[in-house]
Amino acid sequence: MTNTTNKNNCPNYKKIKYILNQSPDLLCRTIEVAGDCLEVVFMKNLIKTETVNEYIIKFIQQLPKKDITYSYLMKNIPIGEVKIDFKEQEIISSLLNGFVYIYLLKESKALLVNCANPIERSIEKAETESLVYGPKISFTESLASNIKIIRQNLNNSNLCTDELEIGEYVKKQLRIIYIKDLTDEDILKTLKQKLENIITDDISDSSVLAQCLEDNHYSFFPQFIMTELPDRFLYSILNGRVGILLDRSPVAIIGPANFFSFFESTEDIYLRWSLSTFIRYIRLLAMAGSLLFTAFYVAIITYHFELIPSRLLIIIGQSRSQVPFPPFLEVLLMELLIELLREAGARLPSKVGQTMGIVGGIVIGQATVEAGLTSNILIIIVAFSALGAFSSPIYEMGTAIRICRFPFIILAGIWGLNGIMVGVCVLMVHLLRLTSLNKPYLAPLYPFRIKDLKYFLIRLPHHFYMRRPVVNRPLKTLRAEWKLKNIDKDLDEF
Amino acid sequence: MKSTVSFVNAYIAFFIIHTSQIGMGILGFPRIIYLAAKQDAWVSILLSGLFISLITWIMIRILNHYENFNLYEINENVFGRFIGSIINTVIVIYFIASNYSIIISYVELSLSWGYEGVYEWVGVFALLLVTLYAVSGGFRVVAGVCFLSFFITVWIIFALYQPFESLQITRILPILTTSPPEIMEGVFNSSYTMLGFETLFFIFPFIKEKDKLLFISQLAVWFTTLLVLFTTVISILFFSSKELEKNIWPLVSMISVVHFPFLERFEYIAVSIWILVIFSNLSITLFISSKGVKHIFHVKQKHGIWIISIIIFITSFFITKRVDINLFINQIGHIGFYLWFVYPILLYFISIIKSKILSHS
Repeated sequence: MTNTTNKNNCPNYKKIKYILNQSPDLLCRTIEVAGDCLEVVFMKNLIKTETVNEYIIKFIQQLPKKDITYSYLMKNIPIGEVKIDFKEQEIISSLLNGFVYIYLLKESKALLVNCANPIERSIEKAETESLVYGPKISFTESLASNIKIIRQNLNNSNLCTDELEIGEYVKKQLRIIYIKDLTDEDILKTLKQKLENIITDDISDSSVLAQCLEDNHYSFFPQFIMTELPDRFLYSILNGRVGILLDRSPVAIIGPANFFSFFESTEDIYLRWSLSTFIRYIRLLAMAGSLLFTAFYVAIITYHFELIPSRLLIIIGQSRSQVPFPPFLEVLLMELLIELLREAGARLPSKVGQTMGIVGGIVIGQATVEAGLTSNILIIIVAFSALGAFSSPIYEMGTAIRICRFPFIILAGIWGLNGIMVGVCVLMVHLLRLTSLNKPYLAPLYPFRIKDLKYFLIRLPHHFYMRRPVVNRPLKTLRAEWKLKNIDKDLDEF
Repeated sequence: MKSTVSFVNAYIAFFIIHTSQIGMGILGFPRIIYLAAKQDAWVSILLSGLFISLITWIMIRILNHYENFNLYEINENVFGRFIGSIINTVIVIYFIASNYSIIISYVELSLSWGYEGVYEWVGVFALLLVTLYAVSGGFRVVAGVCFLSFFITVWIIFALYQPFESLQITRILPILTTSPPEIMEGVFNSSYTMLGFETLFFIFPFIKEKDKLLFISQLAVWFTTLLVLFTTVISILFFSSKELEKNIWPLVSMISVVHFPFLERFEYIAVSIWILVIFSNLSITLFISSKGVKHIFHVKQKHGIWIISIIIFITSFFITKRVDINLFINQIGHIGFYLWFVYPILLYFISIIKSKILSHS
């Protein structure tokens, strides 16, 4: 009989209580219907009380004696999700996820029903990636509602949400999201392989997971796009990328990423092409400026002030005349100061934050110049480079650039402009060597894909985007096929 | 072994050949060729371009004959293990020396344009480290460096529009008055600048579409020839005869005329950006020489690059004066001439004769 095997598998309340270390939250309600006993075991705080009352306890009490059997309950209990075939370990983890464990003493059989009541934040506007134009909805901490958002926005039967579990101590659900007939199988295979290799007690957030998945762990640069915007997520998925959602984390991972995808925003598609192209270049220029401007200041003032036209030189000379430090120290001081201001601004409670920003920015800035500790030209440059680092739509790229700036300043201090160029060489080689899920990081530029440049460097009117970018090797390249109005007409024709 | 080779598209060969031809040589080239061939230097350049184009064609013929072999393997195949190894050693030494000459002449140039108080070894050290980092990424990265550095630096040509205002056409007249031996000497002296097309011998196995390579390599060498011709003619028109004869880096001096409202003395920027130009030279020569070391001594390539870099770093303390550097570069130019202008022709005929003999027997 199958009963004997089941008997060993299904623990009773006492045993569960023992496994859960006598947890005071674990409750057991014993129901007796005409001599037959049932144990309804659940965690007090994790379940929806009304559901348990209405649909489990009340339902069972109403049943006639002949229906108090395992098979009847399994088929007729008025709750959607019921687990019947499970192992002992699964019982515990299900209980901890808000399931209710119904144990029939007579048959020594049990079933699990879902009455979970997870804490959920309501869906709100995105905080770190704000769009001026376009959908404002953002992911939340709940995997269920994230999946809901995705499914609602992309109702295609080929949208796959493969389930995985990660973590030994703290088990977390993870979903790999892709479109089956678009995504290259190589990418999927590498990703799954990498996920299998991660054996850890816990993964605290999706950003940690992304760092574990990276190809080069020592790089300054993020190798996955982290986003909290569902529309950005879906846009990437539809271009043949793979997304990962982790439970309890509001940030989704998208891979494989390339360098230029960190400078595109979904807003670029929503806005008209002219403005979008312009903005995309502003972003790239701001990034380059942020990276190199202060280093140029150090190099030029220290080694080659001949470069500056004489009129400008007078202004700079005047403003620097009081400064007691060499340019290298001066720049380092100001850069560190502005990083300090930024960090303090992020940590301070929002009510004090603004005041402190004003105190820090205006008062300290003004005072250092007046005290003659820095030149006001430098204040302008440092402020510009601080702003420039935030121009990337992905926060992580901005942080990478902020860090990269310091080696450039040091190199400029050592060997002037040549030092900066050596830095550029290192950066170039580094970006060439980086890969994301085994796909080259500098993709549309090297290996050179001229058809993809329109995706990453410029933004053309939409009828140019009939094919998907080939860098992700989508299985189906044709995306759209609509003809423009016939423009073959002569001037005098109608 | 062969399955691990990473392939690149044929058009990359254009950038590799072109960027390894353009390097330190072109900066001082107008003077060197002017000393030999006077105002008819352009004839020498065109002749040397023609010559190179012919040799590139021969190289392709040789390489197509031995599919998927690089020159090291071909040498051993043609001459046997012992003599082949001797020739390969000469080639390796040539590449190490040319890498060395690029580094020391660049550091010397950068020191003569500012940087008082910076030690020479700082520059040598920095350049070597960057090159090591690039080459340890493998051929894909080296090719990428060539490709990207071309696009980052090519715009400097357009900065030459400013010297255009002070050109004097009469300086190139009278045409064709230099004697043929002097013109041939110009061709001979141009070898250091024009060399670099020999990389084709070594990158050939990495190229995907080998049938396109003849066209692309011709395009690359002619592009280089025209670029050198352009800069030389402009220098001759720009400088007076005496100025040009005394100016060690005519191209840099000419760029110093360029200025923008926000930038004076553009040559400082150009000199620093030249790091990117020589960077591709350094990477490709280090890659090829370490490949040779691997082939001859069976040392792993990732160890070979360290050995070569350490040798270059130590020897960089020996030659620091301009005069010595010039002498050294001249020697390399001459060796390079025999090795890459004469040797491929010899190799071609020897390989033809050998294959004929083999097919007879």
